[in-house]
Amino acid sequence: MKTIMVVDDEFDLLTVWSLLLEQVGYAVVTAPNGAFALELIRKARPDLILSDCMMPVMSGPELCAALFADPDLRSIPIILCSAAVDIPRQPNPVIAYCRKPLSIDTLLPIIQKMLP
Amino acid sequence: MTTHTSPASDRSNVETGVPGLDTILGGGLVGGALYLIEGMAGAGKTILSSQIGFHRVLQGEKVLYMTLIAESHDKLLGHLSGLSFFDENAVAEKMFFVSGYHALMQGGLDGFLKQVASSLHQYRPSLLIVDGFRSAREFSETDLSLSKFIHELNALVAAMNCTTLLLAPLSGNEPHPEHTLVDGLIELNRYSDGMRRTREIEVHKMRARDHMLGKHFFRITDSGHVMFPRLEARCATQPGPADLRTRLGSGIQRLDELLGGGFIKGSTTTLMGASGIGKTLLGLQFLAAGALRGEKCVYLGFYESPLRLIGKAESVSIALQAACDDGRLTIQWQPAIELAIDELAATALATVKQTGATRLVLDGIEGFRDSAMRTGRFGLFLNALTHQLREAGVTTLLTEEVPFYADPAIMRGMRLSAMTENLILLRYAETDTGLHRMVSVVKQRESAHDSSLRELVITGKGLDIIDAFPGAAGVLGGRGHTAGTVGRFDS
Repeated sequence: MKTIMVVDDEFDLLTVWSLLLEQVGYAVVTAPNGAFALELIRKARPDLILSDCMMPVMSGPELCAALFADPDLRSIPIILCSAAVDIPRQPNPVIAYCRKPLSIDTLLPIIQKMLP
Repeated sequence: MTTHTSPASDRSNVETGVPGLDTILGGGLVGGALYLIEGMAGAGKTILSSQIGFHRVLQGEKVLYMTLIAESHDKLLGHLSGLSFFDENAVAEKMFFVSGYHALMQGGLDGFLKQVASSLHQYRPSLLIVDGFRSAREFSETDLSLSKFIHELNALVAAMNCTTLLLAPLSGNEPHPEHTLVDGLIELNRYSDGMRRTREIEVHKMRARDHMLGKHFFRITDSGHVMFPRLEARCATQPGPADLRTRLGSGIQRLDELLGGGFIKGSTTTLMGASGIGKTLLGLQFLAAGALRGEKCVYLGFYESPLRLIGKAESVSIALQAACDDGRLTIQWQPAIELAIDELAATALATVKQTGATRLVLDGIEGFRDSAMRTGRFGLFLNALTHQLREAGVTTLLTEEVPFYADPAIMRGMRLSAMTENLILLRYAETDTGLHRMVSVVKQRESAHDSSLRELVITGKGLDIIDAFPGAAGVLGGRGHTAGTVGRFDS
C-alpha cells in the first residue's frame, strides 16, 4: 500500500483527504505544517506528498526546498497546492501544481499518474 | 516532471426543479456546497429535499438520502410515493437510501463522517441529503465538536463536489454553530393570522448567490412544493420606451373620446365605483372589444362564476360566449376564499404569458387585498404587479369597489388609483327620478384626456355614455340637490 503525506494547516482538509484517499486504497499520514512534515518524512519516507503552500512555521515552498536540498528526499513526488493564481515554481524533479479548492476527481488522476 | 492543474472544483449551478425556489435562491444551489434546511415538524423539509433529489435524478445524476433518526425508509418511501415527482424506478438505481444512525451511535460524529465519506465514495452522488440532522446536534458534546464536524463535512462534500442538504428542526432564535459554517441557511415556517396559516420560506444566507431577502409564500401540492417569490422583492427591470400612441378601444366610442382615443397600450387603469355601478360590465365590454378584433383577453375575478358572468354580459348585449369557446377570452374565477395573493398574481401573470393576452381585467382588486395575510405589504405588492403587467405589454383594467356615497378623496381605494396610470371614477347621482351612473376620467397620466362628467347608460342593447344632465355634479355623492328639472340630456 502506497503512502501519501498530506500537509495542510486546515484540520478539516487533513481529515477529509485522509478519509477520501484511504477510500481509494492509500495509507495517509498528515502534518499541519512543513516543519512537522519534514520530521515525519525523515522517519518514514512517504511515496507522495500533497502539500499546501501557505502554512505557519514552514510553508509548502520551504518544504519543497528542504526536500530538494536533501539528496535522499529530492525524488519524492510532490503535489503543491494553493488558492493563489501563481504558485511559485520549485526545483524538485517530480512536482505538480494544483489550484485549490481541490476535488477528488481532479486530484486522483494526478496521484495515479505520479504513483503508477 | 512538472504539471499544472487549474482550479479543480466546478462550482456549478444546481437547479432545484422546485417552481419558484431557484428565483428565491438567486439562481439555484451552488454545486458542492453545504446547506442547512430548518423547519418545524410538518414544515415540508423532507418533501422539499426529496423533490430536489428526484429532479436531480431526472437530470441523470445520483442522489444519496441518508437518514439519522427520522422516518424509516419504508415509511418515507410510502409517503413520497403519493407525490408526482416520485419515481419508483429510480429508487436504489439512482436514488439511494441509507441510514447513518448506526455509525453515529457507534462512532459519534467522527464515525458518522467516516460513513459519509465511504458512502460518497461508494455511490458517487451529486446530491446528498442528511435527514434528521438533529441527532448529530445531540451527539455533539460541545459546540466546538459540532463546529469541527461541520467544517469537516463541508470540506468533504466540496472535495467530492456533492451538494449537500442537512435537514434539521427549527432552532428558533438560538444561534447554532452550524449557521455560520454552512454555505446556505433556509428556513421553512408558518405564518399565522387569526385562524389562517400559510407556509413561508426564508433564505437567511446563501453564499455566492444574490438571493431574495425576506419571506415568500409556498404551497405543498401533489406535485410537491410550489413557491411564489414576493413580487415586490424582485428587482424591477427598467421599463423600455413606452408606446403612447397605440390605443386600445374600450368598445364604447364616447369613452374612447374621453380617454383621448382609447386606453394607452400597456397601461393600467383603475375603474373605481360602488357596487352595481357597472365596473364589471365596462371591463367585460373592454374585453369583448378586444376579442372582436381577434386579440387574446383574460378576465380574472373573485365573485362571479364564468357562467354567471357570461350570462350577465349577454343580458346587456356583450357577446362573450363565442370568444370563450374559441380561446380568445380566458375567464379565471377564483372564489373569494382563503387565497394567497402571490399565487393569484403568479396565476394572472402566467395566464397572460401563456395566452399572449393583450387585454386583462382584474375584477375586484379588493379580492386581492382581502386575501393578503400581511396587509402592510399590499401597496408595494400591487405596485409590483402593475409593473409586471406593463412589462408583459398587457393593457389592464382593475376594478375596485368603494362604499356608496363615500367621498372619493378619503377612500382607501385612492391608494390603488395612485399605482395605476389612469383612473376612471364611477359615481351614483341620486335625483328625484332615480339613480344615475356618472362617469369621469379623473386621471390619465400619459396623455391628455377629457375630464368631462358623463352618464353611463346600461340597457339591454348595451353600454353607452351620454352627456350628463344639467346640474349632475351637484348631486354626486348625495351631497347636493339639483335645482330645476332633472332629466336625461341626450347628445
